Amino acid sequence: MDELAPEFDEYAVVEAARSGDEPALTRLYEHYFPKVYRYVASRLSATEDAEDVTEEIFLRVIHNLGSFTWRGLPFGAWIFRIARNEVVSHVRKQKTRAPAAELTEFIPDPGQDHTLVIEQQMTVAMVRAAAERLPEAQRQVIALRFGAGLSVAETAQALKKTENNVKVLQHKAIAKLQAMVVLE
Amino acid sequence: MRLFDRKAGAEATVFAEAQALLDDGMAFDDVLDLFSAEASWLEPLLRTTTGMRQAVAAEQPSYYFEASLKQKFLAAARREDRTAPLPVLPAPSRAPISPRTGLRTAFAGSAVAGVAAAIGALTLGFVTSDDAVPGDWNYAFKLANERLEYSLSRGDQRIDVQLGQTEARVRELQVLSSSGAVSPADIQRLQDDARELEKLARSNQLDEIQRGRIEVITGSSVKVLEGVAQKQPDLQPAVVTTITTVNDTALAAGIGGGTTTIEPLPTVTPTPTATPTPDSDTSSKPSPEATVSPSATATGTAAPTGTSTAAPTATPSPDSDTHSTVSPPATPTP
Repeated sequence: MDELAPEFDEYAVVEAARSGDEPALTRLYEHYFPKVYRYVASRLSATEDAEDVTEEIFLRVIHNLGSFTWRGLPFGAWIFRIARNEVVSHVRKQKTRAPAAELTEFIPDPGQDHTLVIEQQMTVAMVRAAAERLPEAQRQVIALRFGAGLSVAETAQALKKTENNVKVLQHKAIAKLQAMVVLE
Repeated sequence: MRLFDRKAGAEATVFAEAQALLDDGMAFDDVLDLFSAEASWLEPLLRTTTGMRQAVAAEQPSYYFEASLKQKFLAAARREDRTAPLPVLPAPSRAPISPRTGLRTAFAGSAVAGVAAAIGALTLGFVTSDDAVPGDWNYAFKLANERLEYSLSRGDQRIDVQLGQTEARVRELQVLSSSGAVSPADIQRLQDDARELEKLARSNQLDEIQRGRIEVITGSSVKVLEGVAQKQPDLQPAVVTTITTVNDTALAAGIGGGTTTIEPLPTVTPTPTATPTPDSDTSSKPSPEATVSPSATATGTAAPTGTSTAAPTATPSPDSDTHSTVSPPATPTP
């Protein structure tokens, strides 16, 4: 059974898509588009950039679909590796990101009365701005977990990390983000 | 197996488990109840991730972008399918070349180079014209290419070709609209293509994908055209007509049309009545302050200085008891 979506028979769809079957290609696109777009949008601030990079990812996917081989990893992990590489390459090209001071490992314990406000008022711009100040590994985990909506296992596969590693990165990142949003 | 695989800390593990339950759809309070001992530090973290999820989910891709990328994705798949590797042929062996043969070869070579350059320029025009918009040097190539593609297609394939061309018109309008450079001809092109699509939709049985594409075209056309009308109000009549045509296409395909907030321009009947108010002090000459109220369906304000299209022909009577009714030939602008 596919890990990314139980009702989506990934192997069958991917194999049909590889042979040029258009309905399968359509299903593949429709299944991954929202996840990939949200992942990219959670990393890039301009909508135009997010659209350009998403387009580049899907064209790369279709270009390399013929050379994809099953190596014990879900197809989604392969797609998100492409997505990650494209986002990283785009960010590098832009070179506009100001060097942000990384936060210390100190995790504050803000009052709980603020947290409901955070939940209600958080915008994607706030998430992006706060995530920009995280170390790259934590940022990647956050974008895949809460942008693309992947599980810990899927995130680990996409980033070639262990699940434990992802759990640690996720915890640290969220604690820092929460502190940042409260402080701002 | 990794040699240095760290074990996640207790808090990281609990947080991951609680988050996984939330991801699976469990209610927030139920998750906190399960981890009541950790609720004090866990709740803020879970609220943060919930807020993030909601914020990211609100960032929806545009309907138009999603649909157009799908078309590009499928088109790229078709291209990839066609570009299967060709068998490699062995290179022919070369015989020694005489000087005369060499001269002929040089002439032939330059002729071939000339023809190749001409073909290259044409090819460049066609190849690069995919994203061309009206005003680009290669836009004519794009239209020529489309016409050729349309005339070579038959039946079901023709519907797909027409769908692609109508989508291209919407895309062009979107690009032009961003710089406020849409011309009536650009809107007319969309209208023509939508009408052609409507004819095809009426005379053919459309499949699900084709109907879906028409739905996307309708939705995005209305949005793009509304944007055009907002930026260039002079194009509003053409916009309204085109939206009607696009909606007709949707109806022909058996789906509902898009809704628009643009209302058709009011029809102005040129029968304004001027009510001059004579100056009581200067009863012998017409007052320049006379107010003229055109009674057209649109509310126009006639300027007393005579610059208005409605006012100049009104000749106010010096007689204060007489209210003259004039019918100016001009059409007041609402």
